[in-house]
Amino acid sequence: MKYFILLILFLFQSDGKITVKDPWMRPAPKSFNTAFYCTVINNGSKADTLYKAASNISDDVQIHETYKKGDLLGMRPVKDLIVAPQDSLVFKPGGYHIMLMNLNQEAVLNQKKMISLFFKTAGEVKVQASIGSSQ
Amino acid sequence: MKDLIVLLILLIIFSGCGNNFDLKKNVTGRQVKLINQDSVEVDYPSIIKDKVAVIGFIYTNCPDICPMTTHNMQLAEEKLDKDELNKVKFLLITFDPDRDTPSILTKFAAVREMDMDNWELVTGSNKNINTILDQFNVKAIHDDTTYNDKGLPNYFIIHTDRISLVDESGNLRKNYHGSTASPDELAEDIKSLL
Repeated sequence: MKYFILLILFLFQSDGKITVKDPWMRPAPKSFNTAFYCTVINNGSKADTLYKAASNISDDVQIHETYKKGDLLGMRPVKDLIVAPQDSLVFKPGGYHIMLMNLNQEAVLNQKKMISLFFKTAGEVKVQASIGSSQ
Repeated sequence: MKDLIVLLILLIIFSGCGNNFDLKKNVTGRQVKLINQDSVEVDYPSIIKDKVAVIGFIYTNCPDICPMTTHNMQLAEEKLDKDELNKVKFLLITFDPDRDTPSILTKFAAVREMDMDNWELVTGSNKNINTILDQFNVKAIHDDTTYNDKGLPNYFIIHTDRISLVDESGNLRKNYHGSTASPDELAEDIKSLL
């Protein structure tokens, strides 16, 4: 059974074909938090897992989701996010987002900032995000 | 007689049109002192007196929901002309007064290029902020505080997602889900109260 599970996991591993579309983040002053959004596309034939994000503009970058509890909305960190083969994972306002906390520099409209997304198979994927509108 | 009945039915139907508001609750009953983004002490409800008030409830450490709320208010603002804007106050009330100091509120407004002729952002003591939140039935509950690698504390807030529209007489007329509110609907509602 153990070997069967390992075989399944092997068969569904990504072959590293990850692309990122429409990367952007909200403007924020230095020391504030902001959020990064994009669409992660897995063009490969096997699944991959996003497990970490990092940026030179923040020492504390987390994968987050917005959630509803009754009538209230909150945010919480999430761990591994699996991107199925030939599928996409959407980070959008009100849903999954990459949260950059306590920015060490200002993020001004129309600037570009670097974000790294780390996948178990594809490894580090570097993305240049435009500072977009506040929406 | 038949024509009269038809006329009465039409009158009943159309008397409801043009009124999008299902609320009429006075929200100016309790006076509290607040501090605005310029560190000036202001008085609620005087800051919305004789204006149609569009009130958003936010905290600036929120990177996802509260910016959407603020942005929807700004989009509604863009749909009003100068004469209309003279009669409207866009007010942001923080429910995180411990962290949202006046200087933080100023930076929050600046990065969003808010027109401060139309906007005011306020903080205050926890007691006074809670008094206002109670009036609007807005809930804000602190999550657990966590500490990063450098020992800096952080916490998030689970909160009501709210924009409230208040008429010139201080009556709450409509609540919206702030982050998903339609700027078109909000702007039309504002205009119908002017």
